[in-house]
Amino acid sequence: MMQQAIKVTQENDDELVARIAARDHKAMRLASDRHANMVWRVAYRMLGDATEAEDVAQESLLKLWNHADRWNAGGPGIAPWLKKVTVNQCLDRLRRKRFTSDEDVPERADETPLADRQIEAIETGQAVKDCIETLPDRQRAAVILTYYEEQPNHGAAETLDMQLKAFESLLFRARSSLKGCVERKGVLEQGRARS
Amino acid sequence: MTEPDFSPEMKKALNSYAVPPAPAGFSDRLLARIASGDTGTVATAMPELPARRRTPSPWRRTSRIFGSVAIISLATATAAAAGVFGEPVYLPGISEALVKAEIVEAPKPAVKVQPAVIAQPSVEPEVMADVAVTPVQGSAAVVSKLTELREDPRFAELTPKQRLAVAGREVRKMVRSGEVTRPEARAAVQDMVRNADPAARAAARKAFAERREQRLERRTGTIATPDVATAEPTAVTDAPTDDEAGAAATAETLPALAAGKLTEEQADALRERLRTASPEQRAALRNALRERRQLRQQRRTQ
Repeated sequence: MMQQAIKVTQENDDELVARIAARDHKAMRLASDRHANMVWRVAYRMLGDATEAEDVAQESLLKLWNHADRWNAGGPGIAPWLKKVTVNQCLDRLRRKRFTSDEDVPERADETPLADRQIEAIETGQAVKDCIETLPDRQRAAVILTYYEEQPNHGAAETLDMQLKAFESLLFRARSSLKGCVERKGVLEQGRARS
Repeated sequence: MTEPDFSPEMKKALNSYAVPPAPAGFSDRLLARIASGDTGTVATAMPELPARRRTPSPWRRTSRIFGSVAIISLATATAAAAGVFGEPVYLPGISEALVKAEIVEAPKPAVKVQPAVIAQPSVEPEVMADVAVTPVQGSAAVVSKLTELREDPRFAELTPKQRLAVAGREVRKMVRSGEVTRPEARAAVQDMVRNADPAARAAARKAFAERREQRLERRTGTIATPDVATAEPTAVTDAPTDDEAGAAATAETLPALAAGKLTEEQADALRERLRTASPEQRAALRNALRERRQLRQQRRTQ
């Protein structure tokens, strides 16, 4: 049943891309509606900025529009392809950002009155976000792909163009760093996380 | 590699990092761009980075340098061998010079003959020239050398001591140079002494005796000072006697007395005179001897 669903999706993806290659705007809107959230999520977590995340998301989907005629049918599908394009664009942006400025983008203060519980969750989320942003670029991508996007290791390694063993080593370092950072922030409920 | 799995608290914290939903109208804006034909890269405020140039590693750079030098050297050598640069330049090398060299005997160092030195430097060249041309060997060479020295008028002008020193030096030089052996030299000198004329032999003996006497005097410390030497004869000659024999006797004994040492013959002669002399002469002699003894004792105590 599951394999049947995947097969249908692939067939749909291939058909969809074929229509996009034929410059069908409806097909492009359909693809955008299907994958925009995923692309946006990855870009947002990678870059930590909504504006830049939208730029990256649009660029990724435009690449699908531009390169649809070179689509290889029978591949893993649109979602992994878009994920890979998005991650690469984010890494490229981060590299450029490091060269241009080290300044952090000021966060806009949210003045909406919130309950304590919400405030605490937001503080924790902000601390986690800060910790993810302190990770090196590829470690950050590894954590986002495997934890937040629930991508298996071999898929994430393929997205990052890495060997599986190298990716696992990278992921190990990323998780250790992230855990240490979050513990130091003191936002864990019991104060100390179990290994 | 074992992956450190996140704890529930950690997962809860990570899940609290919520991502806002995609901005509203995202797809509309995307399709608007597509419709307007703006499908290129989104313009951002970030400048485009220059293309990354790969700097070659030091190993690659070094290998390129060496490779270039090797290729240039090979090309130059090939061109030179092909005669592109014209006729080859002749450069004489050490190996070529060695091939052409002949083996010859090294010249022997010239032997420097030291001129013989005698008392007067002006005599040296003549004496040396004679020595150098002497063809005889062994004892005859020594005899010949000493004869030549003796015939040299300048050698004759020297004092006996200087003559002896010069002759000895020449003989020693001959022995040292290997011209004669030591026994040959000794035999030659003995022959010359044996064949010398009696007058010269007597003079030599006398000189030898004098030297021996002087040596003995020096050894016993009784060499006469001028005062003592003049005082003693005066004391003896002032003896209260007018006898000619007593005076002669004291005069004869003076050298021996002055020297402080009597030979056996002199002692016998003195005893004989004391026995045969008159009482006055004997008293005078005894007085002189006593004074002499006292003087010697005084010198010893000093």
